[in-house]
Amino acid sequence: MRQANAAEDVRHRGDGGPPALEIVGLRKRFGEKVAVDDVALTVPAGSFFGVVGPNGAGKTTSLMMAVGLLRPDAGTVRVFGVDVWADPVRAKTMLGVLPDSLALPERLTGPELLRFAGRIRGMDHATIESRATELLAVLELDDAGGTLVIDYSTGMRKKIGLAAALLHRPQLLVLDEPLEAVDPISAATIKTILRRFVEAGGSVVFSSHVMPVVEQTCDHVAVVSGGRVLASGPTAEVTGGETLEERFVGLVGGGGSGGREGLSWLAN
Amino acid sequence: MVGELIRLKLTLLRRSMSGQWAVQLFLGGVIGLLAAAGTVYLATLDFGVPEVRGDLLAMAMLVWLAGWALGPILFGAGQNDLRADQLVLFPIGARTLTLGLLAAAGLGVGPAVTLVALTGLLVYAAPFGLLATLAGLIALPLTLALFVLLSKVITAVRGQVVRSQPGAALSGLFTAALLAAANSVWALAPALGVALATGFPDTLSATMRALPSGWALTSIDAVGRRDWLLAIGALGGLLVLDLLLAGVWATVLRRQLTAGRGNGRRPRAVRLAGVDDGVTGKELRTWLRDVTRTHFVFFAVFYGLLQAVIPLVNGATIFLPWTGLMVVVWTAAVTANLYGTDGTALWLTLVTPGGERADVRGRQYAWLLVVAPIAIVLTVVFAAVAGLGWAWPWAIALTAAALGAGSGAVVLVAVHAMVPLTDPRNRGSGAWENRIDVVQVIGVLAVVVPSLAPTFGVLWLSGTLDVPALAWVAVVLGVASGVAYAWGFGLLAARRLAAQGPELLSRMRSGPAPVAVGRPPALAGGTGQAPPWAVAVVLSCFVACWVPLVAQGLVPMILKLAGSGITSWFLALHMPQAYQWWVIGGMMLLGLVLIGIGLAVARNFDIRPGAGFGGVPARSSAMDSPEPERRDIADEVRKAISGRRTD
Repeated sequence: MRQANAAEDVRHRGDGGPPALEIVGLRKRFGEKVAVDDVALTVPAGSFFGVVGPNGAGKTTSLMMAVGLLRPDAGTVRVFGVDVWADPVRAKTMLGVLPDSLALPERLTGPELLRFAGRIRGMDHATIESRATELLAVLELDDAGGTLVIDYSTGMRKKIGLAAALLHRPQLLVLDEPLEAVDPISAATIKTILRRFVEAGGSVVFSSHVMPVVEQTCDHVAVVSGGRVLASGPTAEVTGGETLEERFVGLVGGGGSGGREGLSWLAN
Repeated sequence: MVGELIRLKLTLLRRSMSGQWAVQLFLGGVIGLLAAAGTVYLATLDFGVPEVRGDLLAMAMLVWLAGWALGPILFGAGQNDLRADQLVLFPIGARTLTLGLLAAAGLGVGPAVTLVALTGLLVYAAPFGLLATLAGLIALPLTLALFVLLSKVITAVRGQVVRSQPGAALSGLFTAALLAAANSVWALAPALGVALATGFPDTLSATMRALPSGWALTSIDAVGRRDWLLAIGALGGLLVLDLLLAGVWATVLRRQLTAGRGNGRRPRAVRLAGVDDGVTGKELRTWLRDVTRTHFVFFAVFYGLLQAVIPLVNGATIFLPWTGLMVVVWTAAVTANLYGTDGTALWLTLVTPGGERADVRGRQYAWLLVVAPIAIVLTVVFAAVAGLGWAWPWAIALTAAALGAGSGAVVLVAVHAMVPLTDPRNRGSGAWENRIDVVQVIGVLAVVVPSLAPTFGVLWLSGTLDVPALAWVAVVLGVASGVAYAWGFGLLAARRLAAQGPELLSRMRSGPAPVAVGRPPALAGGTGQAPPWAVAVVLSCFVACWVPLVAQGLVPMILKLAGSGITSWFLALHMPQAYQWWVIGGMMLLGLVLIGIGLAVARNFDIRPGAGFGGVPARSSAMDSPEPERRDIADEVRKAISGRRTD
């Protein structure tokens, strides 16, 4: 019962309260490679925030550090003003997380997984049951009730992970590539759920490298490349009249013209 | 194509010649070479009874065979092995693939060392004449192929069998029986001295030669006796057995490649009356559904059982009451990789406020629910069968204390000495990569055994002072201390997890952390190197420690106890009587100190094998994750094969 009712907590929307997520001077290096280099991001409360960047840009590393799963070399992360690394218990109470490509308790079925996720947070049985049933139905996982998570497809894994992240009604959702490998119908469902969550006062940060999705759904966006934030702010400001994809290619460089040279044996 | 696979294997071997792998290979090579030299030396020895030389060599061959059979189970399938599933998309025929994989498997430190050992056959054959040497020459590659193939077949079949609970039980029984048999060999040590002088019993020599490991010797002996039929029969037998094993291996490989990952398995419905659906429920379900875990419980139960039951052959019932105790200790020792087997699923605990404590306690509780009923039944049944009235309080007190300490030790070792494994969903059908980790076994024993001391002390007092009532005081102490251990060790583990959870997760994702707290930049994916002096210290400690510990300590001790009168090169035995025990003790202590120094340095610089020792590194395939890439064998395969095809 510790935070089962976090849902009913005060909403911090546009009332001058602390931002949903505030990242300052975040750094991480692996051996010689600097993966995240002085990243700063501010996610206003109540915003739907997209993080875009090419492969290896440091998106996953930054998000992992933001939610307390990877210890930064330097920098601070605050969730609604609470330092994630100094006061993890309070910060985690407000967070819902979906990491990318990590394992789940594989030998559980979907319903069992949600029960586990709820009980370890101290939620009561009745709340878990009713929320889990609804989530499984909405995400169309109710037919797979008897299947172990290890036998789920990648898209199903994303969906059950999302359900676990939503179960305790967090105030800030941090989702790493939530729509990757998810079929178009489920993707539409997930986008709708997330929009409703934001409309009700929740905040969402999600990473993607599918530009149109970010452009359609996010009111704020950050472009990350080479471990640095190249641009960040309200989507319209960042794009400045261009499409996000054009702006992205302009910022990141490369011109998107690779693949025109060589490979003559393939193209003939 | 076979040539390409061999080239590929050589590339992989060359790549592994850096950092921790080089240390490991070098150590293995040195120890193997010593063993090989010992085997060859046996073939040159001259005893009073001529047959003894052959018998000893046959036994040595059996030990090598057992080493190859047990190796993959104890040390994991080779990190540098070519794996069939990496080659499945290339147009290679099944027969070519088997031949290529076999040829590649024949390259490496293990086969090279074994080849040296097998030259003992030639040394043995030489006095019998040219024809006997020729038989030895033919038998040598056949025996080497037998060892390699047997090891491959066991690895592959095990991967296929250990997918269901009965399969896991079977494999556990097999491993336990092999290990128990290997252990029991030491019981023969006192008989050895007698046998060296008077010859081994006929049945023993016959058995040694009847086993496939002894067929090479059988053939050489037969040539010596001009028994041509037996000589050719033994060689032919080796060839047929090799072909048979190759056939089995090819079949299993084919099945492995086409069977997929066993989709559509129906989970066993687990109703848990009165058990919380949180961590305990998740853990219990995992224990019942994940064979990589249950396998070790089966192993420990069978191993403990066999250790207690085998002495019954000599009519000794004294070991029976301790069956439950032994099962508890062994189960704890081999199930301590709780976090490793679950892989990166740890994130779910780490994003939960206060989840670490719930997680540790739930795991402890589930572990007790699995192990305690088995231990209680075994203790009660076997104590009753033994019929030793005085043993009851001893067995109950020690088992209770061990259960508590064990449930604490598994979580403590799980967070302090986690061995990263491939995430469960990425473990291929045949890639059953879990193994018994020596560091974890030692860790658990180091926690559990001293924990039993207070209880044991009271029991010992009750025996010495002949106060039976005191033994029942020990029962109360055993139960109480068990509860205290479970609580206290669990608390320590939870604290560690809360403080170092992200580091544990990082190690699961990418092997040893590139920059771990309080450590110098450690080895990770070849990006860093332990300083040369550290490697040198570790190497010399591990190489040198055996001389004082075994060669100048254990062996002279056995010789002295057996009253053999041999002095040879044993320093202690050349000393005046009064000093002999001191020298032996000092030598063994010196050996232990060397091991301690080696372990301490190895730990500080992370020379210890990290992720992927038992197979593929346990890192996620996160596209965005910039951690240093470990070398990707599949890439190598692609380069070597595709590249060459288009040339």
